[in-house]
Amino acid sequence: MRAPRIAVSGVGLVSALGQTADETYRALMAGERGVRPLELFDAGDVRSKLVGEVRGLSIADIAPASERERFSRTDAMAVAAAREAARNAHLPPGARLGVVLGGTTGGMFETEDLLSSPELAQLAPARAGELVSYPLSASLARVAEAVGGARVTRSICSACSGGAIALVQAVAWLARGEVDFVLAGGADGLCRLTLLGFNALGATDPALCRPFDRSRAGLNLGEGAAVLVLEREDTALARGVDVLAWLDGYAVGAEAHHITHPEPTGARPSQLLRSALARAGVAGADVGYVNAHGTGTPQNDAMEGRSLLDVFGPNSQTWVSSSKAQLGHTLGAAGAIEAALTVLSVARGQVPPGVGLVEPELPGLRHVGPLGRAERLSTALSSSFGFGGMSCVLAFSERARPRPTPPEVSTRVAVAATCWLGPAAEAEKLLDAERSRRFDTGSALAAVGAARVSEQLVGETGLVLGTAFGNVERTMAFLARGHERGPRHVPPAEFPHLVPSAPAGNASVYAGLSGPVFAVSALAQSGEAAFAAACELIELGAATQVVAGAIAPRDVIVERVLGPLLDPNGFGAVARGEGAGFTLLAELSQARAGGRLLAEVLGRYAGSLVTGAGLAGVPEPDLTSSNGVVLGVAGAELRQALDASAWGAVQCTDLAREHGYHEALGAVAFAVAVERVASGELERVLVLSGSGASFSATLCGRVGREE
Amino acid sequence: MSATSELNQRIKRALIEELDLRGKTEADIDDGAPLFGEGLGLDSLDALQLAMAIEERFGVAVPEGEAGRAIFASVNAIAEFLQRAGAAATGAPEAG
Repeated sequence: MRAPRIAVSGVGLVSALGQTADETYRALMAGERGVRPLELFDAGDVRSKLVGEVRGLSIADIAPASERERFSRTDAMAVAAAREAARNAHLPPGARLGVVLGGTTGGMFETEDLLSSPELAQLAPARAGELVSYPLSASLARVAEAVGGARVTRSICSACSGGAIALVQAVAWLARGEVDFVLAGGADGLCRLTLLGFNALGATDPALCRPFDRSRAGLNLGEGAAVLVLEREDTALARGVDVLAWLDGYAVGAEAHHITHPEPTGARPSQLLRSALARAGVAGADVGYVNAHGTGTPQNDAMEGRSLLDVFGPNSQTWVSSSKAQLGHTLGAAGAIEAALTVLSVARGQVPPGVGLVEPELPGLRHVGPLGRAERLSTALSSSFGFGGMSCVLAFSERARPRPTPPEVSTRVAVAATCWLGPAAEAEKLLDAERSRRFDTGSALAAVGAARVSEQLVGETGLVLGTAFGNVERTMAFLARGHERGPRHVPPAEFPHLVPSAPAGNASVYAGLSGPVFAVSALAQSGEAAFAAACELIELGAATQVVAGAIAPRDVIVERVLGPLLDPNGFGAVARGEGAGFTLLAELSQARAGGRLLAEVLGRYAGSLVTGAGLAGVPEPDLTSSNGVVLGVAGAELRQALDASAWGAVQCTDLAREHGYHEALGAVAFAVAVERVASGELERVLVLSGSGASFSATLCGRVGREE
Repeated sequence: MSATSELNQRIKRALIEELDLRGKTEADIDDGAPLFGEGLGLDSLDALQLAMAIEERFGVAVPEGEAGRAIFASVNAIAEFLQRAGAAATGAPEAG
């Protein structure tokens, strides 16, 4: 099967330069700087208070009246950007829609006072309601509510590349026909946590930042949101919408080098740039512009400059600029914001300026001056590189550019290895002490599980890790220290371990995983979300083998305070457990060539129980073979639906009853199901989970028909 | 125990605790061996953590950049820096 071409038909953007895409883009082209002294909160004694803050953000104008109190600034920016994008794309009502958002800190700003207070440390579950906006997936839920009717949603964290990877996730849904439109983007608000953290790392520039300049001394933080509407070419042409640009190329991969430092030669970014170009069917000479990651830190810009010179050559006609001097580094939103700016550049035939740059460190790069310029762009790239080396490159082509040879997409995903882990203390004993310094239990579980399954198959391997929260206890300790002792006294080496994607990044470095690496957050269904995302990457051809896993480390705050958020349907008497599950997924031919063909993923289904259709859409058990059901997290509605279906008569393993419920249970369920198939005990196993209104189901079984 | 070797022990304890050198004891760290790159295999993230820890535990601010790097050459070099700064003699309280 060939992948369809993907159109960008609308963008929405909230930034320090404006609260719409057009306002932001015009100010950007005029060389304005949105970076100014911080007003949002008192940051205390920090190196730099210069930030790209969104001023005049009115939550009351954006949130529904009943939700105002609980809306975070990140939520508000995400919803505003999504509404604008939907409006600009003339999104038809009732469209089959997906929503995917990248981010790192979500509602941290609104919750960090409580998180740093001794009261919460004394485990006051009554305060849980005030933490509604804390989980990373909260903004995703707000956007899905605001646009209505989303059939599939996903929250992605890969530090500073999440907003870009969100667009690749969108392409995967569109390519397999799961939905017709996707709102894809990223959102991140300023907060004390990131300001304290980047301050402690010495990564912020006390002056206005200067990407690619010889004198650069760090980044300025920023905040904002961007959402893009993506759809298939046939949909866009049939409804006659203006195509702003085609998303023809993308590459997602990791460095597997270090949790904060980029590998200095830029070798992996070079490979990803080339891979994105190859997918888009363009040569380096066709690329008119690269919107660089360009944070302004000495390490990033040196590495990135080298990779750009390597790919485009020293005298290329490709313009390079970074928008971070004008907007600040918006972390999880940056990949989406910069993708949106790159799309507008292609659509309008303009090249954004390289503000702050006076004396280029690498004269071989063709830097743009302090003002934007008019120039038709056939193809333009946007690069994003996150902590832990989690990277993504996107290639956008202008509307008139002919369609490249579409890439082959795979339709068959196999399972090559599985494992599940019990208490983290057991996992920690298996770790190499020197290579796992500062790992928390989540990182320990992730590193052991990912290493164990990935070593079963040779080749470049990715990792999608389900995790409901970051490390809440360590985040609280970090904030409390900053609160009590001041910014100079927070431990710098702690900070990179607090973002929800830290266990994914740590496991990637530990196990040498250099394929696509990121975390997904879906509260109690985080394991299911990771499994789905890993399958989708393989089906899209964005990876050939990916570890899908999820971790549920013991965390007293999660258990005693955040529990109601994780468990909205009251799994009630069942205690929360601790554990992790991992499955190495691979393209079928890859698993077969490696002699590791345990089972095939025969089908994946998602549905709503609200409609009363129950499990309709899930194929009935095949009565000529032996069948089983493995239940992950399951609320009462799903149980009723299961009993009412033909699967109700099949032997069922209820993991939550056996192990206690937790957010990695879906990942454990897949591992259990595959073991039953691989051992010959069962031929087909339905892995089923769901809480409240929705369910997800995956059918695993003996390898089906020969290719 | 002499004042110097006591100071070196305190520095080693700070290294082990702050840099999470699990499984290592003070005896495993050579007073003169390089801490970064080879030797203990520490990196610049560790250097930031160590700078903060030294300020916390010994009450002396470590300069940034090249000067800081020279101070972190070895346990002996850190001890020398602290003695020069006169902090060890005042016995600044340990913290963190």
